[in-house]
Amino acid sequence: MLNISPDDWAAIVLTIKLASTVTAILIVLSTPLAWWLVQTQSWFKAPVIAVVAMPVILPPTVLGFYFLVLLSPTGWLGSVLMTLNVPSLLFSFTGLVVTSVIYSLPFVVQPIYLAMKGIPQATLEVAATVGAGPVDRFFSIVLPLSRPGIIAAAVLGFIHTVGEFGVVLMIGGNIPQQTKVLSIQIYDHVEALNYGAAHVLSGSLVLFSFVVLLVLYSVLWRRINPSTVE
Amino acid sequence: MNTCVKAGLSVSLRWPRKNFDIDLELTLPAGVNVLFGPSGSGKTTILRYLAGLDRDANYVGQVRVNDICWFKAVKGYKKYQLACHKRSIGYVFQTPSLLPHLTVKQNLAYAIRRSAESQPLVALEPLIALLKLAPLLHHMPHQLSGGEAQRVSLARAFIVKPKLLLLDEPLSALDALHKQELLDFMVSLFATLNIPVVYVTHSLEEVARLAQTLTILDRGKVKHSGQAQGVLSNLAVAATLGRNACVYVEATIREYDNPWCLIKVALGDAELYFPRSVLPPRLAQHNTLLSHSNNPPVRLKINASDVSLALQPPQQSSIQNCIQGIIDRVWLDELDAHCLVSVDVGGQIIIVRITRKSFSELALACGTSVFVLIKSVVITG
Repeated sequence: MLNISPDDWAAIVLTIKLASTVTAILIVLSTPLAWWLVQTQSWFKAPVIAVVAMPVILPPTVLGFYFLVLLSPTGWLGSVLMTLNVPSLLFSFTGLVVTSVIYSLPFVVQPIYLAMKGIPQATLEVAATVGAGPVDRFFSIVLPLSRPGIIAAAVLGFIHTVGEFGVVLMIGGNIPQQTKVLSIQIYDHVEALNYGAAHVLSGSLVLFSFVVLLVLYSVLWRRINPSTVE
Repeated sequence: MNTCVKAGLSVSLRWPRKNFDIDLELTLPAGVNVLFGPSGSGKTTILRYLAGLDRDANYVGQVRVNDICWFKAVKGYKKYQLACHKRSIGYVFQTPSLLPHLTVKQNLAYAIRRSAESQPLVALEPLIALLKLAPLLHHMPHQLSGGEAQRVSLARAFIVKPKLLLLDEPLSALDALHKQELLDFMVSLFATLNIPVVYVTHSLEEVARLAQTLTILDRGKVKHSGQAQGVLSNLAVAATLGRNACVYVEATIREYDNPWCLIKVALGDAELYFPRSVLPPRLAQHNTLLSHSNNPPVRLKINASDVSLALQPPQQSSIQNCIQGIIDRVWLDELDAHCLVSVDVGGQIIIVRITRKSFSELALACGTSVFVLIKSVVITG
């Protein structure tokens, strides 16, 4: 690890900070959302699923572009925020967090949704008959039984945020220690024909992703809950 | 029935459905009330309705337990519904269903912590001993056999001290040996309770051992309902049971052992002899020295196919168990080789299934005095 410059380190630290923040927010947000999607029979369910899933198929630049339009001082959300004296989300760490949350949402909701869908209705009914109300059932039955899905979701959400490029490029810009994450740093090295530095960062990212996924699929899956159905 | 508060359940439900409508009204006392009927007659639907597990906008009816309203819906009016988790019930499902991520002990604790009348797990020791759960307490549900898991489910249903106990074919997933064992447990457990128990089954053996009242359902409607003994001795009911028709009668065991290895049973004035093997395990271990007067009454289950009729007491026959009675009612069906005859023996009814040919050749009729020959019985406790 000879060629890691202070700039590179700053990008790495920023990336980890961004991915951790986003993952934490996503887990808190997605767990109830996934449970609602599993439970509800409302007509509202299909549109919500469609909206949540959209980042899967849309090019990140499209998302980034609309965020840019929406949040710019003349965009409707941007102007509302401005009148409320909230600092602009564009080209800021907070802005990156908000957009990354939306961008990575489907990758976190999906595994949690699948895990929760696998919980037999009978198990929940048993809990109800012994006196557990809906909130109680969520914490005492649903959460523990979907733990493997939640852990997988956290890992996927983290990796996905680390790998994000298009959205960041569009709304984050290139401010060191603020918005200059690893993928941007690599892009900059390549632009400057600094292939050696790009190799070091890219190679470590490949290795990191491989190790995380290896651990997820080979160890965690089995050890977390041997009796999980499916 | 609204005038005095005593343990009991009153339920009514009118519910139009795709294949058949549920339309019934029942008042059931404390004790074991069996719902009996073919698959798909609406038994489980009623249990789930009582538990509040299904919510359907088209329900019309009410549920009152110990005269407290749990559910009420009148057509076109706002309804009152107590959520399932607020109803004080114990529910044993058809297939054992424990919370898969908790040990047996934690499963029991889960229920206790949420029950209205909380009590320490220690108070459960008699129950744990009775259901032989001690060695299983630290097992996970997936390590248990079906019978073990169902024992835990039973314990869980009992420890919350429910106001209403609902059992949906609790023995159907078990093999014969565990069935017997669990049935014995239930007989002794139910004896200690003073709450209404609704027990769904289609096993006549379970009816004979447990039922206090018996309700026969068919396609969502009540066909017959009343004291179990009375319902079973109704010939219309027996006719639908065909070769499985049976009754049970009260009797007393007089001797547990004699030189012939038989037990002596008094049924009214008659004395009958049966091999010890007809005794349930609980009584088989009974001390033979018990004084006669202390012997508790037992139930004899008599299958209609295991008895026959004679006009004279048999003189030279291997069948020696014989009891005199008077023909009370007859059920004849021109399209059936057999007919059913109910015989009044000292106030109790025995149903006899004989061929129509014998019925005609013996010139039997209501009021004829006959001898009932009993080939075998089952003593059910």
